[in-house]
Amino acid sequence: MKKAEYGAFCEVYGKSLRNLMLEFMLENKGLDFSVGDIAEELSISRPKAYQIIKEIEKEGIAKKSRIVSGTQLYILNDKSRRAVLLIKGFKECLKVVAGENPRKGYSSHGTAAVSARSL
Amino acid sequence: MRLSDATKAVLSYLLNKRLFQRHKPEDKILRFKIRWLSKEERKIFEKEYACLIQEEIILKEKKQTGKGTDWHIRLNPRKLKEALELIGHEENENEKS
Repeated sequence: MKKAEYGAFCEVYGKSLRNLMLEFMLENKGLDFSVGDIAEELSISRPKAYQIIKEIEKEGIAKKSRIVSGTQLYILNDKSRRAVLLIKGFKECLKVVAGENPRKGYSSHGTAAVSARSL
Repeated sequence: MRLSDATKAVLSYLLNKRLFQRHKPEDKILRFKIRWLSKEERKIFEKEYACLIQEEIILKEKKQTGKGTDWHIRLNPRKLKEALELIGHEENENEKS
């Protein structure tokens, strides 16, 4: 199984599977997705993905949206206070990334990651 | 310019993963974003996506890989702030209301 790719959100809030899933949901705010999609995209096993989505649903951050061809889809719960806080945090992470200026000819991925961690 | 959720998701993904310093296959990025969209939503997404490529906010290049040639995409590093504005447009309006 290939390694998961951590974005700016995970670099700030911690590199865990739960944060990886929250990051996925925040990126895809407004879109619904199946647990199988999450598992494939994040390179985690399906049982683990089901376990995490159940926890997140209990906390009210995610909710069930619709069933398509027997597949249950989940969506970020915009009305939950926790989700609103996470959305704000995600927006701030994106602002930090957009404010970084990569120099021409240099691969500044390392320096960019350090600057996000230093928050 | 107001974008649909799917287009915003693509921009958020590219920005969050810092895909302006490197590129990624287009199929792999778009696969899960448009999977559950209806026909109408998909048409809207395709129009907006083409618009972003025309305005050079998203750069699309053909790259040679071990499996042949693929289309790869990345964000234009000179237009990051524009991409951020496009993602944050609706959210700013919601905060004001």
